Amino acid sequence: MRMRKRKGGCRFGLPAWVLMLAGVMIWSDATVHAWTPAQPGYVWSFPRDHWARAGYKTEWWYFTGHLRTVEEPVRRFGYQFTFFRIGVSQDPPEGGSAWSAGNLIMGHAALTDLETGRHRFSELVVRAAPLLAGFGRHPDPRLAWSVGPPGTPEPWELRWNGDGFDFTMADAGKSFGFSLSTRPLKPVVFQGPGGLSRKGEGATEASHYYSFTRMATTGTVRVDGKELAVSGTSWMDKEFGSNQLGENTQGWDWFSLQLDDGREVMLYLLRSRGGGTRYAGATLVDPAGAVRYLRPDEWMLNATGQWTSPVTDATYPAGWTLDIPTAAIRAVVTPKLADQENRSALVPVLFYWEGSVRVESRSGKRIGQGYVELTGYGENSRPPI
Amino acid sequence: MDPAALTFTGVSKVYEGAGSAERYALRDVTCEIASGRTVAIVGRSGSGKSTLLHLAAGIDVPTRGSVAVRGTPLEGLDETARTRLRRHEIGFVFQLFHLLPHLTVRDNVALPDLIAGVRERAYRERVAALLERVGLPDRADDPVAGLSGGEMQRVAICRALLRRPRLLLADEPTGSLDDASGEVVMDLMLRMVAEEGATLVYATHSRELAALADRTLRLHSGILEPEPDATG
Amino acid sequence: MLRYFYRTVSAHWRTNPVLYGLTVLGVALGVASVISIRILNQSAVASFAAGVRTIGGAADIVVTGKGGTLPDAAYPLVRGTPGVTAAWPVFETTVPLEGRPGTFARLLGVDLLAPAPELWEALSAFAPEAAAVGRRGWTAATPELARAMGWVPGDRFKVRDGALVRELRLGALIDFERWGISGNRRALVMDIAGAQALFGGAGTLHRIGVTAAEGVDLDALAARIEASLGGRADAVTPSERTGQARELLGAFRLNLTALSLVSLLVGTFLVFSSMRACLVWQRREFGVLRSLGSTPAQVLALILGEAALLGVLGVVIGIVAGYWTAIWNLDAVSSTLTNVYMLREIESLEVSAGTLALAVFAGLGGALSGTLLPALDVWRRDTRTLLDTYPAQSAGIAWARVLFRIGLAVVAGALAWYWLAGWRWRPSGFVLSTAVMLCLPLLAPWLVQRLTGRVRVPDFGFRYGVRSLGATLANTSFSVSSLAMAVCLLVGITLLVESFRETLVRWVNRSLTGDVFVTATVGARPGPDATLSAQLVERLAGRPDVEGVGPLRRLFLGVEGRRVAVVGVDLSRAAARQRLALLSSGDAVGRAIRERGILIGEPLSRSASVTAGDTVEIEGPEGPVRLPVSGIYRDYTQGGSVTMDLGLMAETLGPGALTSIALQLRPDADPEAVAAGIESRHPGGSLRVRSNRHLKEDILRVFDQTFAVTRILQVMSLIIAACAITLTLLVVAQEKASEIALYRTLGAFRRQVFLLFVSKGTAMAFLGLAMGFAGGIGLGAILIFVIQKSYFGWSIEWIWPWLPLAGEALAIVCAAVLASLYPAFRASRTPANELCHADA
Repeated sequence: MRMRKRKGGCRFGLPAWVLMLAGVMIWSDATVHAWTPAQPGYVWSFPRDHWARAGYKTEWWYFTGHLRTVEEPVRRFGYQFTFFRIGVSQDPPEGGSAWSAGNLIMGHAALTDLETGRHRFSELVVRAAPLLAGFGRHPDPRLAWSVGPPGTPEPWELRWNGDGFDFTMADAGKSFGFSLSTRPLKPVVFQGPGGLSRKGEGATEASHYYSFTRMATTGTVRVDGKELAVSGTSWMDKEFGSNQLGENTQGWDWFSLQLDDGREVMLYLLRSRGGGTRYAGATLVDPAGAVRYLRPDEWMLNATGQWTSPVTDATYPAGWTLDIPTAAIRAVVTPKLADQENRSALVPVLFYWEGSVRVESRSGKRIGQGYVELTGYGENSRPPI
Repeated sequence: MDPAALTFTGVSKVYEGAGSAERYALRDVTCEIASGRTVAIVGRSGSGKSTLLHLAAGIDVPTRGSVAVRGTPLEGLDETARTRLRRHEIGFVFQLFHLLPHLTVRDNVALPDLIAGVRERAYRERVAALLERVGLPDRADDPVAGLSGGEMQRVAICRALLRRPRLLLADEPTGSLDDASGEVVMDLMLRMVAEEGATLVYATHSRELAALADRTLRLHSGILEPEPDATG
Repeated sequence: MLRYFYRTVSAHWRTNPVLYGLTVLGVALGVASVISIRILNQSAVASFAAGVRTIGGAADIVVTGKGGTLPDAAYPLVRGTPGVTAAWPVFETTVPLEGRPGTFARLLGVDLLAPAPELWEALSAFAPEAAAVGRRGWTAATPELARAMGWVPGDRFKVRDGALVRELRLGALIDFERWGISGNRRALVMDIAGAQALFGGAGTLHRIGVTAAEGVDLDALAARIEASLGGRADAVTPSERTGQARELLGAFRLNLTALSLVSLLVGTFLVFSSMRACLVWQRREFGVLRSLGSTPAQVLALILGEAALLGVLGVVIGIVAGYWTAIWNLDAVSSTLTNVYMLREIESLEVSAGTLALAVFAGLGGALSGTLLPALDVWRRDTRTLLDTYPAQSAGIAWARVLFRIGLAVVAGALAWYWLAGWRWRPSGFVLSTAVMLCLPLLAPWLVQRLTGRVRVPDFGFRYGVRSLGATLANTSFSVSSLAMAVCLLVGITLLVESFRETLVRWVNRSLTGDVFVTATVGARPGPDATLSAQLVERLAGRPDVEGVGPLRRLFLGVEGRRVAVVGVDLSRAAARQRLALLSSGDAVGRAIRERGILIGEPLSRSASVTAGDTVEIEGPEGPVRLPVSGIYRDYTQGGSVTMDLGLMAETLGPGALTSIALQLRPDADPEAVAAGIESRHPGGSLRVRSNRHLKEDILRVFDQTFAVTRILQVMSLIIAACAITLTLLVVAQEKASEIALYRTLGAFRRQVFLLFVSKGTAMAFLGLAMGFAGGIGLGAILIFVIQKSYFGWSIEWIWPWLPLAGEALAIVCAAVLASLYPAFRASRTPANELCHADA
């Protein structure tokens, strides 16, 4: 793989170039309607809100989880599956071209083989033109779909099965794929009061954000020509908004931890360009699904190690201690595999670490597992707008 | 009375030498050659014999002094007029014959008429007569390359006399011939000149040949020696 | 000896600068003619290869539709084919730039929103600008195009789309070539959605570029892609693509290649004869050297050394002159490439190491070989003959006859070889042409000798001059043969071009029977995907001034593995029958209707070895179709064609709209007015409307442009011819100084000597003309009947272009007279005493 200067990130924001693209388009074209920012008072309606919310500039469906094969010998996997919708224009040129599109769709998927230590990443970026990709409308069960990456005849697809989400992806070139079906074990969790997740003090620095923090998952994983029946647990996020990140944001650290005692923790830190935490938030979900938003002084996260990517030279934190005294959590968070960096070939400035982590007590006893996302690391890294 | 065939009055010819040095080919030559006479010019190589003949033919011009042919001063004539004078009044015989190899004997003889624009009809008989006279009537259609030296010079004499010039100039006419054929050629030339009533001036370094002339002019380093017996 | 060498060389220069200068000029001209054509040829090929890159971009495989375009729906299929790592759609059109008649730009519509990784860097470099793709008319241009048009980002400019004018906005300047998006330096790029919408191409793609995963077999991948598209598209690797396009350019490249070969021959010969001439007048000097005790080898070294020096000087000047000649002719070649072949223009001249090597070979090789013969002669001869005032020429007769016999043998041998075996070999025509060109210098000496020797000399005038040419046979025959070769070339090319043109004119007159032609266009050019709507056809047919309508439907399909135009016409119409100039006997059209057969063009018939009675396979949009061939017709279209009845076409290749119609007008209607009227009344439809006269003019303009490059050789020939004459006469004046002096002594005026030399020059011109015309007719016959036929399958009628030939002859005689003026002047100034100095 060629080395390039890389910048960017994922999850809260979008790759820098995409946002820049969309952003400039707004500035340069007065006829385009303004995108709707995420604001308090949004009236949620499910299942309709699982579908794409036009009018917001960015939106994504984010799945992470852990799987194990049903049959012996047991193999364990971590996975990630994401569809991004990137609003390019609310007023695409008419004129009958089938290439005319107001949205881009970006798909990211990763499969980490926890036995062999191999992390695979697949991606696609296409315009949401009927030929290639699109977003369904309620009640069409398809939430989003796209042609597969080049060389892959099968499409990627995300559907609402009435109960949970089904999604499928494949990448012939990378020799992997999966088709999974999820069923929420807990009700929807709003990340922030009213489902509004603040990312900063600015008026638009927020997104509408909800999660399914624990979902039973079954399906198949295809890897190197083998098809394996799997089952496991997933976490799902859906988020949408417009220009939710402040200008001074360098990147973020995001954690979704599923504890074996039935609780889940989501926490995030937005880092400033000059260093230091710009904004932080945390949510604790109890075994019954009751949600508590943690005050910043209620939790403490310390990085204890670091790892440098041999490909991008970016140095990420690797290993943390997490203390939430009010919830009696004293955990050590450790990457199950050092190299779980997702490196885009389609958008060369885009790379981030998204990986499966162990959660252990201070004495080293397993108390859960989770996923961590780290963005904005690496030399010359610039925050997304 | 006829004007003199050739008159030199104070004629000098100077060649530029190396640097600013001047070399006199002729120095202050004055003489007069009467019509119908034969005059030999003798002297060593480089004494100015050829220069004198060239000045006489108007193919060279003197640095100082005056040359007149049959009373006509050459310095007053331009290039074309000098050429015309040469065409009508002067014949020339060279040491190396200068016959053109791509022409036949007859065409070589006829060349002056050809140049003068005379029709073939007009000169055909004259050419034949001349060749007859020099004893080469049956070689008329041969290429000149096949002729001997003496034959070549005889052809050259025919060519020189073709247009009945009043003045025949010959520069070492036998210089390229052996003695025997030299004598024959010289004898023929003198007789024909006499028959045509022309004036002959020839350069030679041979005392014997010089003795055949009515008068002998001696050149020494470009200076005409006084004649012991000035009967010209 | 070395010091002597320096001294003599500089002394030669001082004493005879013109002769030496002319010799160097001769070498330089020879070298220049060789390399200018070669530079142009190579530059055209390079530009052409870049054009192929343009078509393919950075692609490993390029997918194109069998019908010329692909539906949008092909894209996901191609993209999803295993082994593909990236696929990018391209919509492409050529747009005339409004306000600059004759200026076109290539407009590419690419996916700017989700570019292939290969293109990503190019686009990320101007991400903010790229973002503006959402706006209509946002376009990026190459810096070259912007500079040429005087645009700066933010400017609005207009392009033509048929009758419509579209306003675009220049959003950014991007060097597309650098990024491999386009090899064209005059390109516009916009988002594919906007391009399709603005230029009437919704639903169609012109190609899909594909990159393959490492280690994937490209041929296998291409086959998989074709299979996934149901065989309705061609997936070709760049090398295949180059091969296909190379055929398209065939005529043009052959033209240039033939010219470059011929120019090599003529150029080398000119160098050869220049050097030879230059050496002749030094004979006596070598005689003196020898008499002073130089060994023959020393003299030989001296001669060759000097020749090499002159050669090097000539080569250097020749390379520079050749380069400038190429630049000077660049426009002609370049506009042929862009206007006729729709490729990019030549943007830089390629001067390869091979070209330089060729220049050195032609210059030095010609110089040394030109020196070698006379040098050996000098080497062999004894001192006395060298000093001769009148070098013997009698030996000439013998060698002239030997050369003449060799010359005859060369021609006879070449003809016999062609008759027996050569005709099967495609480039055999070039062997024949070379034989014709080579035999001229071989035949020249004897012919000159015989012809001049016969002349009677009644006076000291023209005929005397002619006669005396024989006296300098060696010099004369060299310049006569130089001239003859130049004339031969000139006449041969003139015969070809004029015959071809006249044939084309007759063919056009015959096949263009309508009064007004209406053709559907896409992006200002007729394309396979451009069709006429049925309503439009009906409306046009219903016009009161229209008497009849000739429908035509054209598809571009694979026929016997070649991509040709498949034309459907109504064969039952008399005009349609008349349109075809049939080569096969009998009522081929009637047979085609009865047998449900097709008629094929001559070039296709030849290249595919198909004749009446055979069947051919057409790769139709619905799959392969086999149809019988009922007849062959004359065809001068690029790439060949097939004609069939419209009904049969719809049945076998699927129904479809017409692509153009010919309108037969009532006798009182004015075709120009009708054409203008239709065009102005259909601004919305992309139509090209041409009157019969207008269309013919267009066709001939393209033809003339293709052959424009031959003008270089024509001018070059004239200069070479003039140069050879001047050189020869100068040498003669020098060599024959004694003879001239003799004439002067015998009473010849300067005027007479002057005229004598002009006569010699004129005589040489006539001799060269006579031989050159004879050779040129042979060359023309070879070009027309052998080369064009075997390479392009075109039957060209032999036509005598009297007027152009007479003009050329006159020009050559004038050039000869002009060329002899200076040497004549020099000769006339020869002093009469020159002769006597030789005696002294």
